[in-house]
Amino acid sequence: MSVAGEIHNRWCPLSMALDLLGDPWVLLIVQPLLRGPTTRRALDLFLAGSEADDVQIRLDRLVEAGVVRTAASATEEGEAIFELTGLGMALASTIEELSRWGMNALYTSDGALDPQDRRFDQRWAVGDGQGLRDETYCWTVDGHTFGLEVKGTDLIRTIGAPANPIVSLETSRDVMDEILFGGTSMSSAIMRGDLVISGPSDAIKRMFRIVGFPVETSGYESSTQIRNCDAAFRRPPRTRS
Amino acid sequence: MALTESRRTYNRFDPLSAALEEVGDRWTLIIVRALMNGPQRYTDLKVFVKGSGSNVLAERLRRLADAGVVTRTVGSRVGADVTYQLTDRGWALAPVIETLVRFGLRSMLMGVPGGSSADEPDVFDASWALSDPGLAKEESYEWVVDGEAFTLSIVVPGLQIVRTRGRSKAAVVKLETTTELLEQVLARTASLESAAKSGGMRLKGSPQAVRRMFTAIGFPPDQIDSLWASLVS
Repeated sequence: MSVAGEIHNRWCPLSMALDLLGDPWVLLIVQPLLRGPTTRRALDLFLAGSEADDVQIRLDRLVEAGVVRTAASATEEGEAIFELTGLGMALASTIEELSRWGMNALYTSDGALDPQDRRFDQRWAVGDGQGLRDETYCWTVDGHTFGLEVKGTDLIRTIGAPANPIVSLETSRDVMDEILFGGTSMSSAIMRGDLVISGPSDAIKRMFRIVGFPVETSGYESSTQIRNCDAAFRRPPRTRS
Repeated sequence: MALTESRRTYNRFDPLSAALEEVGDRWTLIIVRALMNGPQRYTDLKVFVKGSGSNVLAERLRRLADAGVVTRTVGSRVGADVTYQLTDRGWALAPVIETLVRFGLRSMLMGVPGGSSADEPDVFDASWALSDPGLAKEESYEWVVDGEAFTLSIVVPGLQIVRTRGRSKAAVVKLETTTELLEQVLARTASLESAAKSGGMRLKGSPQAVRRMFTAIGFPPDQIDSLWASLVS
């Protein structure tokens, strides 16, 4: 028996998943859609640095694979709105597990393995960067200290303690993990002493905005975690007895 | 596809982007998955990346070693083979792979996605999955998931699985279930056996054919064994 038809690589769930998801940008297109339906324009902002054609090809594939669909109603201006299907929503766990694994590369082992400064393009998190300032933050995660230097909408990670940081943050990877994925709020981590942050609260807000933390990239002003964090800082210092 | 072969650098201070730079391409996680069976020689790994370019395996292994995901061990005997194994950092990818496997099975078994080629059969190479090709038989299985029917046919020479839309008169097994229950089985919150017993997954066909079907599709052997035990008892 011979059959005509599209030959896939193999009958293997992992291969099937990677046929679609192993392409550049694909999971980065799904990531913002997990937060809700969005327009192509909003997607492009999040995908700063990508080519429009790259995104279009991937978006078409995601629609064909039944991961993304066009919502029944468009915006008032007639712009199409994209949303995830049930199959697409199932990728939340993949994105969470990958992010959890990737934190290691950002905060700890990569810093230890790779003694180079590294420049990151943070337009995906800050858009045009309005309200940001060129300033430096000092992070210590699991005992690894590194600097995060803001230059426009870029973030430069330097190895070791930077000079004159406006904000200092010290925590462990596990606590970061809990805040990002485990539902622990930043304020409760601060209360427990698992997350130590010092610096002016407006600078702390700018810092969390440019690092894209906690995962929210838009509407950070309304993020309860940032608000709670801010509130935690505004609390009068506890007097020790 | 040339664009999937090159390394993608996103340069975003973002854990997802950082992970995708290291393991997000088409082949890397397949190599990691293969190493979860234990240390492997280069020649053993080749079969898992069948269909990739000639230097893909060597290049990915080098990158994975640089990233601290795999290590190389050179045997102590003269001429002994180099073997590759996962580090702790490599094993930490197990949850990622598990979610991808679940997603892949969902897209294989739950409704055939629409699109221009929807009525053409999809052909899959299943030869790599069956250790004993004698376990497979040229036959068809009919699946109805949420009321949508498709047929999976096994082609023995070359061991292919052909998926077509619609019912099959010749099917030796008919299975009817819901996405919801299938999802629970894939997530292992329900067993195949309990799904069949509860009536949420209706199976028609001989126990032998049912076993061949789930084996060819690639369900976990322990799940198939307990279902088999309950079907023949």
